[in-house]
Amino acid sequence: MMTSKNTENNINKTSSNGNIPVIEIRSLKKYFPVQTGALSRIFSKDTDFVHAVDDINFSIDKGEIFCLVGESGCGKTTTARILAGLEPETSGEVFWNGKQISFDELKTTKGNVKTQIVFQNPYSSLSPRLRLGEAAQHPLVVHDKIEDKKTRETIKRAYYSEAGLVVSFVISIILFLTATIRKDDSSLWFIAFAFITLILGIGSYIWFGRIQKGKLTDDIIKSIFNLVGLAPPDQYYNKYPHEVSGGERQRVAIARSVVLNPKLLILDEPTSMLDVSLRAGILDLLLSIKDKFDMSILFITHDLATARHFGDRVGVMYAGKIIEIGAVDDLFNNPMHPYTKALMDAIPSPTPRDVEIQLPKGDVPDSINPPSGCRYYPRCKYAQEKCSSELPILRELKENHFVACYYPLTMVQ
Amino acid sequence: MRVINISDKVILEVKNLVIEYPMKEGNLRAVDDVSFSLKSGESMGLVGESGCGKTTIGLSLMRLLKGGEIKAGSINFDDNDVSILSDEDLSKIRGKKISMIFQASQNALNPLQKVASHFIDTFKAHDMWSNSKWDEINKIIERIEISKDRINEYPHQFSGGMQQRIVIALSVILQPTLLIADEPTTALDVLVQAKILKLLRELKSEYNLTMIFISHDLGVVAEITQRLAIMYAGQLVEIGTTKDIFANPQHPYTEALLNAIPDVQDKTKKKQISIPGTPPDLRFEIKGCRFASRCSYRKDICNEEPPELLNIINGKIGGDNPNHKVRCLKYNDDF
Ligand SMILES: Nc1ncnc2c1ncn2[C@@H]1O[C@H](COP(=O)(O)OP(=O)(O)OP(=O)(O)O)[C@@H](O)[C@H]1O
Ligand SMILES: Nc1ncnc2c1ncn2[C@@H]1O[C@H](COP(=O)(O)OP(=O)(O)OP(=O)(O)O)[C@@H](O)[C@H]1O
Ligand SMILES: [Mg+2]
Ligand SMILES: [Mg+2]
Repeated sequence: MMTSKNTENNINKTSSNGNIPVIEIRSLKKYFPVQTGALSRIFSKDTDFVHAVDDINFSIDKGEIFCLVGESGCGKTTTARILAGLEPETSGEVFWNGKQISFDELKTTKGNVKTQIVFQNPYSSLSPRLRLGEAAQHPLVVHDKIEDKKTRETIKRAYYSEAGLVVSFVISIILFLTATIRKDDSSLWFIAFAFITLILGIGSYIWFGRIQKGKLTDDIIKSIFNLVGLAPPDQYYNKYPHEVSGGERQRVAIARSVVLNPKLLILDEPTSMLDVSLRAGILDLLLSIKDKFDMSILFITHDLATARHFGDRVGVMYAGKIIEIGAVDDLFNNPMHPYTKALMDAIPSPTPRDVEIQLPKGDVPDSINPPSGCRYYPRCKYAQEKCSSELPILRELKENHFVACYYPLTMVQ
Repeated sequence: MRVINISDKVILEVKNLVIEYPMKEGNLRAVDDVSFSLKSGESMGLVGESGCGKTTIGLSLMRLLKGGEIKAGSINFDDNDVSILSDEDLSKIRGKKISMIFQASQNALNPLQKVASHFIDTFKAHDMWSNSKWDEINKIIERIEISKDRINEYPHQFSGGMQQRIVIALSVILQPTLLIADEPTTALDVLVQAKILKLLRELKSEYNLTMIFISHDLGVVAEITQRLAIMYAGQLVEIGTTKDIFANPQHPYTEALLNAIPDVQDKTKKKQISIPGTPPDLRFEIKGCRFASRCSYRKDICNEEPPELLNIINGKIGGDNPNHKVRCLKYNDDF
């Protein structure tokens, strides 16, 4: 018989080892107010809320790939957007390297890049008007994130040469004016000096501000494109997004996020629109980038097989809650929550099967008025009296394997 | 057990079909010399990488190509050649006898129209509307596990999976002979997907549909088809029964596709195997085999000689058994 080390504190220790996680989320909630019609707004005083994310806890270690899986609408994207600082939380706490910060501080600003997100849809994540080269380079320029010393030097020179151009303009105008005012023999000298200043100014601007800097950005883009396997780069950087395939587009989107060197890379279904052959390529790419840049990854997917092969740990979400969390092998070899089991059974199998699979009855619950007790009980074939009235919390039923269920599967069998 | 009713009547025969999209730099040949046939009640999967021409074939069967032209070949459906049919005759077939679930069709429902009026419009489009049809509508709504009280709600009030079920119900309500389903479950999660596949399987036997199921996911097609056609860069590279192809993939591309499927049960296969490289640019003439640059069995001859789609049996080319065909030079005696 298993014993459950069931304490509140335990729930937050959802990291796989004793290290301080890169990020830890506690009791995160996000409720969206629902737009109701004018009439109902007059007649009812309370607003309704979509319980998109309802009190979740998890943490991600350094270098770890943490996957979030679950049915459509269970709150995965909402969680991702909050972790990227793109959506305000309703309530909750966040710890970055063990230190409590506000969710607002997760947002990328100049000089502060903690997280970066790659969005669900490769077809809408890139601006159709920017060439791929511009798109990839854009974040670097905006966030002034150039580390290399020589590069910084070149940029500084380009900057000075722009200032120099302005100064030389001003000086030559003054010289011209002086020449016209004096109207004597020395005027010619003044005009000559004015020309020389102007030419020097323009010349240095063209050399430092244009040619050298142009070469530099080319180099940067080239290295970014090579990094994500878009080679040879010059074949790609003048193309528009609609001129390349979905897989190539997704690579550019990934490149854009990686160049800022975030500590946590958030990937929202980065491969679900791509076919298997492209999918494996993108995952390989992500693994190599992760190691090279020493990042952690939050990987969101509804493809359980990909989660198993790509992730270290996985959290299963249902209707705004995390209902099971554990190391991938543990969790998929031995799913304890009936919902996790149902998800696994539903995966289409390449080997034709003889028995029909048993799918859970019904659809996902109403997210405005979620069922009392366990969110899954109306569809669960093991549900008992207690499930409908009391909300199960995550308990550590095996080492580092947490389940929110009163009648977990290994105990039923 | 699944009951499958396949008669010997050939309902669809596509012969040497060539489809091109005119482009500035030259014509893009999206479909190149494709032939296959379907018997009544049969369901065939059309599988291949993004951009290989699956949707183009699907659309051509109803002559709905946007910008594309049928350059050669014939499409025989129920004793009519669709490729030369008059617009008037075509409109009698389109949507009624051949029906299609379009790619990304969750967005196909009109957000301003109630679910019920989508059904009414479908009947009206073929002058088949009468009040007695309400029974049929109610029946199919319950069939897809949506309460009939909700028939007057708008599409956005339903979840993505429910919307897709409504789209499917709309596509079979006129009892078509042939249903073309273009990636009906892509971008849906596994539970919703499993439900939709089950629904399609059941509707298929209830309505005795003949079906073409387009997908890039081999796991999905295995669940629902008896035959498979594997496409690569506009051509069929392998065609055969689903069972045979899964047990014995003959084309190197099919083999690579099968290897790239991750398996959640498999603890040992830790890494997915990708297929490096990209398909050729279809705007230009291609010498030799189209898959050669990505093929691990490649020899020099592959870049020279284009392979033909030939019968194969027990790993040997030839014979008169047309049930399994492959397009690969590897099976030549002198390879
Ligand atoms: N801006 C918003 N306003 C109101 N409701 C929202 C908003 N964004 C999301 N929701 C709702 O919150 C819930 C969770 O949505 P979310 O996009 O996080 O789901 P998801 O798990 O990413 O689903 P999918 O797999 O379909 O991408 C859904 O019911 C959704 O309708
Ligand atoms: N309207 C169009 N104009 C020009 N080229 C087109 C057009 N539609 C499709 N193509 C091209 O024809 C080829 C086949 O496209 P098709 O849509 O049939 O591919 P598919 O196999 O359905 O791919 P996916 O899995 O991405 O849906 C592609 O190279 C595509 O770029
Ligand atoms: Mg999402
Ligand atoms: Mg398509």
